Amino acid sequence: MKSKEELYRDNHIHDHDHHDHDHDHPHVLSDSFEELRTMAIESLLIEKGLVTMEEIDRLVRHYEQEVGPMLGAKIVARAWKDPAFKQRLLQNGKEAVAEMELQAELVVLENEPGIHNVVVCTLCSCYPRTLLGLPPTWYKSTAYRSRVVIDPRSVLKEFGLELNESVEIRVWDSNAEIRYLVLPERPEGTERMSEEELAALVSRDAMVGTAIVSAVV
Amino acid sequence: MNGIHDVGGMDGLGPVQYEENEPVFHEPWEGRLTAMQTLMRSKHRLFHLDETRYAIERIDPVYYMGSSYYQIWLLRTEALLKERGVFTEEELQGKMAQLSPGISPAPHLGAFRKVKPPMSSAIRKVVLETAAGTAEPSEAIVPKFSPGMSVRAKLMSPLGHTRIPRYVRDKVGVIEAIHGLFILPDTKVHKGIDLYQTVYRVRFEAQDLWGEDASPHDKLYIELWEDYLELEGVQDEK
Repeated sequence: MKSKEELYRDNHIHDHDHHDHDHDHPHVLSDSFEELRTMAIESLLIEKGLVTMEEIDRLVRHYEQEVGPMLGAKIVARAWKDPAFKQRLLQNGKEAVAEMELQAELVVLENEPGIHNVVVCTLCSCYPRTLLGLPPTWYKSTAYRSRVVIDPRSVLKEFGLELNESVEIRVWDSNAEIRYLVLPERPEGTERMSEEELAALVSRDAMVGTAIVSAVV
Repeated sequence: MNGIHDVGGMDGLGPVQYEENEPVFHEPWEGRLTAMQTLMRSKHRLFHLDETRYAIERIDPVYYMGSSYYQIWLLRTEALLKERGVFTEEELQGKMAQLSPGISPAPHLGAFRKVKPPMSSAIRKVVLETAAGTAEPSEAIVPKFSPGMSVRAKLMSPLGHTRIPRYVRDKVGVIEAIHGLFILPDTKVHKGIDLYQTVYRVRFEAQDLWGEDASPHDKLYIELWEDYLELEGVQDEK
């Protein structure tokens, strides 16, 4: 049994030469309007010479494999290990991550005892994609976007993060071109860890501000 | 526009649904759509980011609320490609029939699956009046406000695209930092011009936005273009 992805691909490749003499193709796309519609757009764009299948494949691979929270986690781990880098990062995020060959119009928000930062985009889905990859569904949901600005404590509690009443919560609505990355507090008991070990502790959610980092994964 | 996308502070949208170990894409078409969208924007420059946002803002609110992120993206992308003359609806339907002969699955929320044209108004303006800005981002512009100043987010309701959410309008905050010059989205979409304007980080007290139920400790930070702000004169003159 072929995977949906393989069938999707087959259907494309055979589109031009098979469709009028081979009717044994499985109609794998027939159950999804969106899938069929997207395939039709892809075929038209390829026919019109605007894109190639390889370009699309390459970008999908990029989104699935090359970007993701592991990039942000490296930045955090380095900031924890290297005070000079941390200072540069907080002062000018864009220039500091450029040292690591990453690009972002970046402002880094440091969590400290008594201060917790959390990021949202109430108008759409702005997110530090070059550092964290594509945003998860919850981040893009109207539930999160509507509530975290007006009731951050309840939303964070649902994420399992209960903050003391005295903590100042700073909610950042990324509505312009600036992107935010939360620098979580380094957990205790991690003094001997290497940068790589530290990076493994840092979750996506901790860099959005809906979680904190604990020493145990 | 005071659209359905501007949800900050709205009630009734439910608890946050969290998916453990969520894949980057749930279905292959979502990834291919995302890639095509990127190529059309970055490689061919057929539209820019704010135009893609404005297309989403014009989607029928029933569809916007009832559809997945990528269903919305698909509708937005096909609408923009049709607007730009890349293909027609007939070509698209013809291709679908060719790919899946004899079978035409029904679209999700079909009656509401549309990007609406902008409403017209005898009174309301589509785009704000711009007072500042430059076509040259390297130009040294003196920002109108400086850190520590009290500012009021303007009370306004342009019919077109803007990036000032409703929940900060007419609220008083403090300039926290100056970010430099960025293209004003409003005039980019509606006049097709690159007007660079100072963007400020503005800090609001949660209680000033939401009332006394909010924690007295909590703050909201947002980036606002200069034309979205006015000096909070009353306080200043005291």
